[in-house]
Amino acid sequence: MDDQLLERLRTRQPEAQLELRAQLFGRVVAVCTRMIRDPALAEEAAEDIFMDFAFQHVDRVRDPSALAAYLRVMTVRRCLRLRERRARQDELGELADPGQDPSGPEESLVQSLDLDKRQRRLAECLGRLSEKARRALRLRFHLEQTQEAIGTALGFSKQYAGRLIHRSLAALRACLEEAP
Amino acid sequence: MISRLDNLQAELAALYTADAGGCARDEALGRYLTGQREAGERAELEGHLEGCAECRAVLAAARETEAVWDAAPLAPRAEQPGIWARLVRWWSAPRLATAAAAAALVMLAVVVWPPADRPVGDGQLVPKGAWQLHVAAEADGRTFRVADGDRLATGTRLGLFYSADRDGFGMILYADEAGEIVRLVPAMGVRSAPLTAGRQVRLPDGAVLSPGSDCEWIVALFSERPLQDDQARRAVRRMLVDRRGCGLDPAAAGLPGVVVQVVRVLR
Repeated sequence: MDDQLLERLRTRQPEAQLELRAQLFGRVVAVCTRMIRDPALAEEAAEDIFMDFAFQHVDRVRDPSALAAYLRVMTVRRCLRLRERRARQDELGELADPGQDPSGPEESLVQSLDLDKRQRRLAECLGRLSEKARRALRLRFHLEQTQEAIGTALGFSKQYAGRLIHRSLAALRACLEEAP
Repeated sequence: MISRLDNLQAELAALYTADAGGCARDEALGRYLTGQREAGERAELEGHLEGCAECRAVLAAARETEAVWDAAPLAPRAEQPGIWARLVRWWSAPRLATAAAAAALVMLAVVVWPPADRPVGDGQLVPKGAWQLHVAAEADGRTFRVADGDRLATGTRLGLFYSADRDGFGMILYADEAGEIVRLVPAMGVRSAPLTAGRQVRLPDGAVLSPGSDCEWIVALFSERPLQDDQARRAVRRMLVDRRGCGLDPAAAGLPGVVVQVVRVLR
């Protein structure tokens, strides 16, 4: 891998991100598919991993020759967490029965269930958005990118990026207001 | 739920970070896996692994998936944003395996070129040294050449052809009003495809239209030297930003020496 690639990635050059993607995205997708099994979820996870690496984690890599290995470890770690989170949410889904006596479990468990229920509901509502909208929201609220950077990353104008984020937040609010 | 809507943005950030974040030792773990350990790193890392169940699980899973990582293709498919769900590759080489498909393609080429109402170049000879994009469409059992501003329905199949008096390179992209850009030709790789001189040469990739917006465009970029994918996309974005209504101005592409042709498609 080009020794200069890491330096160019650190300056967030789109050409460098494209080059990295051309070299390694297929491998990230393959590992995610093997670990998560659901091809659609695996590809979405791979996109998130790539975005997080390109806009955040790349700064943590010191050695250019370790770039691919870092991305591989990051991919495995993220897929493990996703797998465990889904398993935990499935268990909590069984436990969080609306008819259950709220005085039964300990307060901390109730709070934990409530937090996970909120996040699960939010995740469900996010799932209703387009792939493009989900990526824009992630770039904005997790990776704290500007609208211009979001537009560049996703291939459209910053104005469209702003409108997309605004519309998506409105859609999320409407979804959260619906009865589950 | 309603009382927490004010914290929607914070909730989103929390949701994203729940699965994100790495370990400060991810780089060291990566080197450990590939045997490129730095001096003194191994002992420190093994000490960490004794106390970190997650890192042990990561190491085990990475070893289990090593063969998958090494054997994976460089890119699973041409990288495209959401619009890709609206365009399906058609007339690509594997689809021509059947005799029926091949016959249909030959019929298309014979029927369309030259079609009675749409002669190539609108009756003008293609100038020497020029490149020209031709778009054919098949819908409702009818085949015809697509002219700028034609209105096409969902389900229409598009075939791409070119004429060129000399060898060069070409890239064809599809764009819509929302700013989404999909590359049709070439299917893979990061630069434009080599084109050999010829008349009405069929390109291997086309598309099938699914529901879309009012204005969409097929943009062809022909050049003597290969164009990078990102250069082409930036050029199309410049044209989209500068557009007037449904019209894209090839001059706005800002690519000296590159022939830019636009076919507007109304939906």
